Amino acid sequence: MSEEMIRRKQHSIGLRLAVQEVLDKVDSADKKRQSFAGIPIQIGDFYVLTVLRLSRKVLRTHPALTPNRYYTDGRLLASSLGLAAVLRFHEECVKSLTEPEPGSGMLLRHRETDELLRAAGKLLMDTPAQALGISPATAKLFATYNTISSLRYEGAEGVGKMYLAKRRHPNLEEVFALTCPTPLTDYRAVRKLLEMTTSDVSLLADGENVYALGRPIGHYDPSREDLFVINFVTHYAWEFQHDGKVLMRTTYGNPSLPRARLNRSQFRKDLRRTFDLTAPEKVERLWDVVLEASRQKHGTLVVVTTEALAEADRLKLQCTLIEPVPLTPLITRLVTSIDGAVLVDPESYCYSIGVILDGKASGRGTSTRGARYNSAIRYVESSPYPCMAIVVSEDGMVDVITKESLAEEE
Amino acid sequence: MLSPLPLVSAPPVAPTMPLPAPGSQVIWAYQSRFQQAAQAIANGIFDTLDDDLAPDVLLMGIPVAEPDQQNEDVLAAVCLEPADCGLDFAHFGRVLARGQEFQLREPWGLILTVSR
Repeated sequence: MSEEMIRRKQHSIGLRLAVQEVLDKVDSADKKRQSFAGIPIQIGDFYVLTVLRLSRKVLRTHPALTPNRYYTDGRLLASSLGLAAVLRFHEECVKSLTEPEPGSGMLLRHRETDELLRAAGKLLMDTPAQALGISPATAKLFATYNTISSLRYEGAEGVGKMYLAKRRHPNLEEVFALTCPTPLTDYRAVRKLLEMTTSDVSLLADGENVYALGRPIGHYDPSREDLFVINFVTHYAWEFQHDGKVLMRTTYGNPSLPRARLNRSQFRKDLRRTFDLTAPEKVERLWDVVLEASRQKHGTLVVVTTEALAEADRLKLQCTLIEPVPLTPLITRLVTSIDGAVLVDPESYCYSIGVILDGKASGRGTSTRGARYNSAIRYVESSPYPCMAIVVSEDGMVDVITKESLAEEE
Repeated sequence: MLSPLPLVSAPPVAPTMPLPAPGSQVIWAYQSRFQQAAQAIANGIFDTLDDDLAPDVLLMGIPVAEPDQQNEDVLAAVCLEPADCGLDFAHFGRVLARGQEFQLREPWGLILTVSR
């Protein structure tokens, strides 16, 4: 690198920091947006830079590691998938602005969104590599985990956890160790080892090798940021976690942010709007029921209606009537495990389970969603009483349907 | 034998250049197209991550200072694109001087010897 280039690079980085400082000040007064400055590039008589602004509130809802940490070479480490995407976006802009015809690459030959997101996922996985003392250039954790998760063992998909930490981490206990640690890049061998894991015994890896099977012990101090979990969820899908929070979920090699299955404040708003229900203990009880139902692996349907008893009686030939019982998380887990809807009143009393709902078909259904979702829409629309349906789909989506939400969609 | 197909071509179409918005600073011809392309890429990335992130891309210009130029009014940063970005550029009056301070403060020795 020539002296002139080094000087120019230093100047650009200094100027970016100065702009970022001003942007931070502006943002802290505004509170709605969070701005990220790119590297300034000289074009004509101006230093030109891109500024990306995102919703601060939404950005903060996603978990992140400690911000403003750096690689040993001074580059910023990505503390979340969002920030990794911001860094990749700016990289792309700088590359395009430094061309002889500034910006032309962005217009004609820009990288695909998926490609940029994968690059962001790779960048985020450099953060644990750095924490484990491995050079991010050689670690390639993102590609490694994609490959391992894609492999089947005797036809079965890989499910299990792998802890990533330096050997002899105080919060990890080895159940038994491998005499010859298996390199992570020996994908088939690692996939085979993954088959041995159970809900409480996982693989232990140091970022380069799997060295033992073990389990977490004691209380982990999250500020250490040196113990990460890779959770292989299903075929070709894995999650990157730290301190119980999912930082990234990767499906078929494409990273995404884990979405909250249910929004608590929105649910509370819906309850107030539909049933005029605000009593905190009743809202809490219903929230617990819905939360438990949303964990049902095969999906389920919960219908809350003011006339649950009358409806249970009307539909008695297509349901299983039960003695009215206030739903607790345990009972919820039991009653939602069978097919059909669960009828509940706003006090959380359940009257019937396995209900096959009826209703008149309307123009609101959608063939892209399943039978459960469409029958919930039909029922909510046709019901003369205030009611709300919570649809948990098998693929993990949770929809709360009320008459008001249907009307809003129109 | 088949007769050769007649050569038909579309009438020539002149590339249309977007007109710069009145009152905006023009540095190079494609700046507005560049901002639009960057916005489209940002939408693609961040809408995939979370629909509510609402990305917003601005193009900002900071005049290059002559070595002896000290007048801060002349050196104020400007918004290049979009013209109505809603950011108050009065705050950016001192960025060049502040940038220099950062430049002097950074531990460059370490960074530039390790970087590839």
